[in-house]
Amino acid sequence: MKVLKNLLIAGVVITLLSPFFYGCGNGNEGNGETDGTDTSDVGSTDGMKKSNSKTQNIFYAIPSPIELAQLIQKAGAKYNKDLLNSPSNDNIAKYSSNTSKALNLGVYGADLSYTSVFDDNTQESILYLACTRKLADALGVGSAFDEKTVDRIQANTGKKDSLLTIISGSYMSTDEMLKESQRENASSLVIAGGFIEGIYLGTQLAKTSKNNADIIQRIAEQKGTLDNVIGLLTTYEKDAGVAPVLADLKSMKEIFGEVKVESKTSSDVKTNPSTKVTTIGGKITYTITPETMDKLTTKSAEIRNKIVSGQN
Amino acid sequence: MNMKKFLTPVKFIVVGAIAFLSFIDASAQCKGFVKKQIPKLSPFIHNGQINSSVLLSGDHAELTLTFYSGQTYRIMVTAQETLGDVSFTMKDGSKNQLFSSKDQGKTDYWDFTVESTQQLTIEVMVPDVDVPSGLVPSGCVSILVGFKQ
Repeated sequence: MKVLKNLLIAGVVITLLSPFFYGCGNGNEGNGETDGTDTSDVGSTDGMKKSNSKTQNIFYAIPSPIELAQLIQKAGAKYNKDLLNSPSNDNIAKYSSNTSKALNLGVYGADLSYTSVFDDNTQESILYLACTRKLADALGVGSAFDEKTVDRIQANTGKKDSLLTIISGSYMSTDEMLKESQRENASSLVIAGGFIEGIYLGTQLAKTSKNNADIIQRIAEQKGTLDNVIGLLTTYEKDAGVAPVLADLKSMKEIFGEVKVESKTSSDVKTNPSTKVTTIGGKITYTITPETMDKLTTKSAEIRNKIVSGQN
Repeated sequence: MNMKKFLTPVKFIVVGAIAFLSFIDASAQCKGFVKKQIPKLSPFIHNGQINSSVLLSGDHAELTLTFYSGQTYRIMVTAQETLGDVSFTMKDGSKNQLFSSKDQGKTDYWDFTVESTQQLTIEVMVPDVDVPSGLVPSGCVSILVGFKQ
């Protein structure tokens, strides 16, 4: 009887543990690839490529729309609210599918970042915060943009760094909640929407700015980031909502392929003894022709307009 | 049947079960752990990305990101104590090592700027620890990126 009892215990323990064994292995050993279905497993990796003898998960992290907005602003772009997606309720009502909601959450997130990096736009920031909140609510992650966030933004009027920190926190919470509810595909669409809006705003601002060389330079530098976004979406390429966005981004990649990147000197590092900040030297140039810039402007507008018109 | 011989695999499975439950616990704690680290980025603005994972003793993980000229960055790598002295390195696109935390008194952050926009890879190494119980230590590791102009 005791032997039978122990056999029963062993059977129960093995049954309980078997999903974990399958979850860890997942058939990806050694091939360096992921099928996009294991991201919710215990031990999944957010944004990291993890390597040991048993696991190989590849994900990509990309800079946030907040950083891109700040780079564009610093490059000399002027504020133009007409470029932003309309914050009207009628517009938001067009976003009926979860794909459309996720993409436009990214778009409004980028617009919110854009309004916040320029001075004296607190009221518009709150307007765009309301848009992101509505879409986040519709996706079940509304608490990332709650009343407290609105209050904090109002209380920090004119303090750009504080505003960006608050928005960054909300962006992080959204990403976290989507991943927690095993909707990494939606999280990747939010990132893609934000990235596309960032490229759209950058190219449009370059078109309308007189001294646009620095803005164009920042756009050209997005070549590597686009690869990261494509890498991220490829993880979920079987998702019906992700596939068309991935195809659009691949068509944008073809244009970015014309951007010439040249490394002219190797990296050297020097640390300032008083600030303890290290400077990584080395000259890398990004060259984009006016023709390529025109193609990119047209393509990004085409992809972005598809998203904001609710066609996804 | 010899009971001792039978109980050995059962004991092994139970030890395995405890190890996995510890792993799940570490995963659940990861969220809270990362949030506690973010204020340490100050005065840098967090880029809004969560790069965290539950790693095991002996694991390596890497993350490649674009860093832009004109910005100052802080990279911060923190880990739960169960993992021991987790270290990290930074490499450029040609795999040249630019920084190693081991060479800087086991610091958990690095502040830097880049003269040219480029992609850099952060590699995190968890030390391999021999544990007599056979339970492989696991814990949360986070890589946070902050920036300022």
